[in-house]
Amino acid sequence: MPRRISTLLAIHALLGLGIVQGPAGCSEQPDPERPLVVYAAMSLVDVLPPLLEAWTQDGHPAVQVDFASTSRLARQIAAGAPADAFIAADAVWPASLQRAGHLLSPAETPLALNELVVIVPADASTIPRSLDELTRIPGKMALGGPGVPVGRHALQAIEIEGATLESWESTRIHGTNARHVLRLVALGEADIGVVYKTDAMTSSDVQIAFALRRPSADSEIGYFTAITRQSTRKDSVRRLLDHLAAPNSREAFLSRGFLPPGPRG
Amino acid sequence: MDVDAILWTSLQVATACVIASAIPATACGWWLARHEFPGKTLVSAITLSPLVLPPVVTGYLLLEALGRRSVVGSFFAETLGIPLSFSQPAAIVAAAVVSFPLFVATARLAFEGVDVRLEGIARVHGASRQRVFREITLPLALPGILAGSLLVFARALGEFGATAVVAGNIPGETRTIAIAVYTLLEDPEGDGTAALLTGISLGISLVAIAGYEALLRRQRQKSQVGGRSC
Repeated sequence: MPRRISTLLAIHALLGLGIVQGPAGCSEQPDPERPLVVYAAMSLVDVLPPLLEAWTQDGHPAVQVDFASTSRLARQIAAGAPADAFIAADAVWPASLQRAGHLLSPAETPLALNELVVIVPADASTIPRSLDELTRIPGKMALGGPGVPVGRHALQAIEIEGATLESWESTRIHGTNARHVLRLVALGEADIGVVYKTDAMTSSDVQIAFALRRPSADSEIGYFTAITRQSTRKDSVRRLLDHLAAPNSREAFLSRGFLPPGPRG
Repeated sequence: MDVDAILWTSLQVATACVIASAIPATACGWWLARHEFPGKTLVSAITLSPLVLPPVVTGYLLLEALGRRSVVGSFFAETLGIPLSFSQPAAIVAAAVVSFPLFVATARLAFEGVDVRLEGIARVHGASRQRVFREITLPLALPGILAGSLLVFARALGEFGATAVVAGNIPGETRTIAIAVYTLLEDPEGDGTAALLTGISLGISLVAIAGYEALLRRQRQKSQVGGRSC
């Protein structure tokens, strides 16, 4: 009986190793057939896929894109996730990843800019029109967590106006990304939320109460691209990122409410 | 991040979860242990279902059923003043639902381990059903039930999926250890605190599981010896 068990265990171990080694072995070689992997901020979830599709249709490799909060994607890249490119919702995360050696230099100009708006559910009875009015509305506020760009941008924008959210501290729901915050307000679970204008425009269950003043030029809310150091398809990725930054693609961004990059008017 | 607040929140939620589900789970366990009835398999399956559903799915179902805009949810939130979504009660409910099968299964096993003949003898000697339950069945099954409650406590401490969906990440109210660690994973400076919370979580779990084992051993003794209580 013990011999049979050890034989079974040995076969089990060999099978396990075989299953693990198979796909793991293949990913070491640059494979022109494998899709490019792009990690992109959640707020780009509507605008990117058609642009990527168009690029592939033009005879370029297929692109697989993962959307999540910039911070989560950054941590995954830092942990060695197999991304070829990173499109972040700020310049801070790409810079820190580059310093740690995971990314090549990020692009100097962002693909597009965004602005923050305060939203309330579509059927809200009271609509605040300024930050002062915000603190007088009871209930819950949905914000991105402090590490998430949409959360950090929101806190910065509020501080710049000289306001604080201290009275909201105990009923602040931390969203994992911009679309999560949007959803919390759309469901009515949060009475107020701060999201990008482009996200607010996608849902008929929320309405924009007012816009937050845009931060200074050196902390604009922009989408910065970078190629990962471990990518084996750097040339293809460079062409893809150039395509996304081209004037044709800019149209797609503008039509969804994004703002063009460049000197502030 | 306020580690004390996170620990306190976790302990509050886990303890409240055990207290809230103790009587329903014990009752279910006793019912399933002692009664045969048509549809028993179905009832048993329903009580076990949170065990096989992904917790995130359970959380989604809870949000649909108890969210602010649902019938039940709006009644609790507006009329009773107890919101059942994105609040500490929501976290307690999520943990209780997800760990209910564990509690019921352990309680059921405990009751099944109590010799029914002892109950029969007591009845023959004139004891009422309630007295039999109170003085014979329950004391003999108690170690097993307590073991179940420790298991539920440990499970509730580690509950993440359902809590994240229906209770969210609200510091001081629903930010439990699991949710805090998940949040810290997105923070560039989060590793230290995450490691600390992980260590604490492991420590509490080990103590809880050790207690669970000890209680199970007590339960086995009580069942084998034929119910002679210490």
